[in-house]
Amino acid sequence: MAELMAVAIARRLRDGETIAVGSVSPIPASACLLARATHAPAARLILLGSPDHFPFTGGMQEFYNFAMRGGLDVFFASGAQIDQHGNFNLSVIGDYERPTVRLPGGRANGILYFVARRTILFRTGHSRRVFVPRVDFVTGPGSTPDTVYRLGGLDAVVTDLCVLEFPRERRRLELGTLHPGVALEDAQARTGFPLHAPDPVPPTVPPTPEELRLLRTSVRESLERFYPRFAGAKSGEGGRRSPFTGRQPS
Amino acid sequence: MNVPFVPVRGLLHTDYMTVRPDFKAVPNPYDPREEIAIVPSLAPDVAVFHGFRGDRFGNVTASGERDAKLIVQAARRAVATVEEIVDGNLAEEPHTGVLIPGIFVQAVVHAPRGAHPTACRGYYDDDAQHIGEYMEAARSDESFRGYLERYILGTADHAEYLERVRRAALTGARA
Repeated sequence: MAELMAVAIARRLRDGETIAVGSVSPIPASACLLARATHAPAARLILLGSPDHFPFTGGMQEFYNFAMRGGLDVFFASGAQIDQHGNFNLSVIGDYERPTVRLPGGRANGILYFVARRTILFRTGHSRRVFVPRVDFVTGPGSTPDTVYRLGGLDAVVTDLCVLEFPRERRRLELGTLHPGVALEDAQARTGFPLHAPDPVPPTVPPTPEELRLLRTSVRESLERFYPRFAGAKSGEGGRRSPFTGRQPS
Repeated sequence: MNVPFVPVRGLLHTDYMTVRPDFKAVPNPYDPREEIAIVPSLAPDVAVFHGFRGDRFGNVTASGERDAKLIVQAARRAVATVEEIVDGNLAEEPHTGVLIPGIFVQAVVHAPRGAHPTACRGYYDDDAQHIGEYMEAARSDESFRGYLERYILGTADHAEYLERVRRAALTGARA
């Protein structure tokens, strides 16, 4: 499934784009490496937490300055909660002062969601707990009034079941494609808001043999260099996470 | 800089504006059609950071991925812990990483492995086993008090801390 998600993300990336990936995000990192190995050889990658792919010498401040002046074409984030309006929550579950879970995500997402031209949210474990009618806390707002400086926003949400699109004119999540073998009823049953869906829903185009070969060879080898902790983990997700070593942009 | 606030692109219409009443939305004075978030400046009394090398003039080299250069300028005083003390003048020699000018630094402390359990690039990687032990301990106040006693309050100095870490690693992490 991680492979299908990586391929679905890779196909949204374009040649020559500047793409930033948060620390310890192997699925989008794989997608970027795959895109570079196929249709986007000139894409520039910023992998936070990887010294080989961090071009800045002035710390995260310099990275944020670069982002705020419009340097990022694509940014990735996950979401503990994502709602139909394109709001996502990476800050806290429950009350802010006495939360059930305190999450790391406010620092970067409160800026990058506004200034990256496109943000792609990725999320495994598609469920009603994640896809809620309204997030507990807005870390990143799906929409903002015209008085707010905003260079971009949500492009799509890629999950282990489907791809949800966020058309700017309607400002709501809509079903784009369903992954092979996933029925619309399953996706709806595991989503906490009504899924607006085309009829019929097109399938997510599965990985080609060549894409799979790259993901399992050169992409994997590069990824193991960036994220040695995932070296033993299958398909790039599920290694031990260290909350301290990576700067936490996502 | 000693300015009272800094404008930030972003933050508006997030719930940070609600939980942090000191974050404000104001009209951009140069373009009133735009509203912009401002946040109060931080002015710590002391900044503490870990670097690669330090010299007798207070010059310190540190990772350019981190924000040491930012925090020493924000704080009134700065203390650097470093892997190595060198004899010469780092400002006049080729060096790795970024140079934090000694004029911002009031004390340099020789503390090899001072970044433990996190990494110090070029010296050592992070200590995943110890971080795992910390995460386990942080699950409850009681177990965290045990961690503090074992590694922080109950150790005389950094050397004893590192020795306990080493012994724990040999016997396997104790939760």
